[in-house]
This record gives sequence, structure tokens and C-alpha cells, in this order.
Amino acid sequence: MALAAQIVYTVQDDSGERGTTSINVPITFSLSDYGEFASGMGTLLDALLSGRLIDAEICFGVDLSGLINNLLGGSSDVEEIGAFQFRTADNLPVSVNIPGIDEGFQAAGSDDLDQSAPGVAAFITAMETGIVVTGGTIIPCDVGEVDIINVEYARERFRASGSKG
Amino acid sequence: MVLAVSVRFDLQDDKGKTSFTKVRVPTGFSISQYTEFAQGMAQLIADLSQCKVTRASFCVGLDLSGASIKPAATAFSDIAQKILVGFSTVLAGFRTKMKIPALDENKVVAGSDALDLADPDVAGFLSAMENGIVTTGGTIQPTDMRLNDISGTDYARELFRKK
Repeated sequence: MALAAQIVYTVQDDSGERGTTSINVPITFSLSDYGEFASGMGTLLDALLSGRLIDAEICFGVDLSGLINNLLGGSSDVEEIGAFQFRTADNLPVSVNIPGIDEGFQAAGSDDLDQSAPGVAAFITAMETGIVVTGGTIIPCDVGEVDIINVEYARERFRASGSKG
Repeated sequence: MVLAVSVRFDLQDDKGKTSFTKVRVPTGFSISQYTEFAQGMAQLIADLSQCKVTRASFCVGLDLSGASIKPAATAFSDIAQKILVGFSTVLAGFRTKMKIPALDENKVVAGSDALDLADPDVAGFLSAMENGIVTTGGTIQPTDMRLNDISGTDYARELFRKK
């Protein structure tokens, strides 16, 4: 079943604390239409508030019904992390932690992941060179939109669930 | 500063514990292109992990420069002081709620927790929630999570909740 997209507004009060509110909207419009809606609704919200609207974003769910072998492993644990660190074109680090890394990818006698193993290699290639989509290629980047260009390390790590992804 | 689009993947292990990971990608692509990317990356993550990928989503920043927004929060504003609005939808019995932080107390009826529905700002907001906002591509009508259009306001009042 298709679910609504959510426009999430962040509000900040005069002590600097932040809260959010969200509005569900249909999923059939363009990003520019959602931008128009967000500005119009932002003006209306601002008039009701003593806090200040500081940003807005729209979030979409993705249909995963086409995934293959997306199954629970018998000894899976989200605290067992595949820790990947990449470098951008500006040589800044970008970390991606994959929960529940398959131990079969671990190099023997080491915490390192075997970067030549097909699953690991495919993930690293996608992070470095992107994924082809209709009309282009989307290359992962850092928060400032600088492309990732190479991997620095890939290793197993353990971290409590609920911590930042 | 433009910030990258955040693509999030939620995973669950066989004990029921959950976690997530994020990959950032550039702005400038369409919704369908981000969807394709998220599906492709989700498959790669599923191939790496013994956990199940239970959800994927992506969030795109929206430009509010066209909105009329106060330059700074008012003195004594507090995100714990909220507006609670209950809406009905076109599907009988299906209702939805919205909490909005940092209410302006001037919008509350004196001697009451109720928002002043006759206040032009309150009325303007509720009208937009019930009737939508016109955009270039058509009118965007707010809905509940299951895409049932909001059709009316059941209540609108002040509420105090931290965070």
C-alpha cells in the first residue's frame, strides 16, 4: 500500500531548542510543487508560532518489494557493524555503517572485510562510482555534496543498537 | 548552503533489534531517480547484511525562501508549548493528529485551551489543511498517512509536551 510523503518542518524557540511537525501529502507531485506547498504552508505556520521555522524537508518511502534474498540470517545482529570509511574529492572522510554485516565477508584472522568479495566489492563500487538510474548516475557524496571517490577502510566493528547509523 | 539528500535504510535482526544506515547523494535528481537509487542501494546492503532491510526512505530539503518567516523566535517561545489539531478525513472513522511546536499564545481563546478559530491566521492554516494549497502542478491536499484527504477539523487546542 502506498503511503503519503511527509513534509517535516523544524521549529526553533528562543532558547535554541528544536521541535518538528509534519504534514502528510500525496506522492504524485514534483519536487518543485512540494517546494511551493512548503513555502505556502510555512507562511501559514509561521503566523501561528512564537518559534521560528528554520527548515523543511520532504521524505518519501521506497517500495522494497523487488529486493532479492532480503532475509533474516539465523544469527543476525544489528550491533555487528560493517564499518566503511570513504574519502571525498576534497579528501574528507565519510563513514557508512552497515548493521548486521555478514561475517562471511571478514578476512581470516583480521577485523578487515575482504574488499575483493563480490558483495563488498559491489557496495564499494556503488559508493565510489554511483548507481545508474534512468537519465543519469547518482554518486554518493558527503553532506556538502562532494563526491565520494575512494574507500579508506572496511572493517568489522561492534556498536550498541540505537546508536547513530 | 545546499545540503545533500539523505537516503536512509532501516534494518532488523532476528532478535527484533533495529538499526539504520544513511547514504547521502547530491540534489538535482527527480523523485523517481532517487527511488531507483534507493532500491539499488538497498539490494547491495541486503547482500552485505544478515539483517533484513525493512524500510528505505529519502528526504529532500525544501527551499523556504519564498515563505514569509519571522527573522527570529519571539522572546519566551518554547517548543514544549504546542498546538494539537485533530482532523477528520474523507474516510469515515479515520482521523489524524498534528502537533506543532512553539505556539503563539495570542492564538488561544482567553480562559480556555482552545485555539481561536476566528483568528485569521488560525483560520487560514486550517483552511489550507482542509482544502490544500495551489501549486503549479495542481492543488496539494494534506492527507493522513494512508493518503485519505483531510476534510475537517475536529479540535484545535494548546498542549504542553516536552519534545
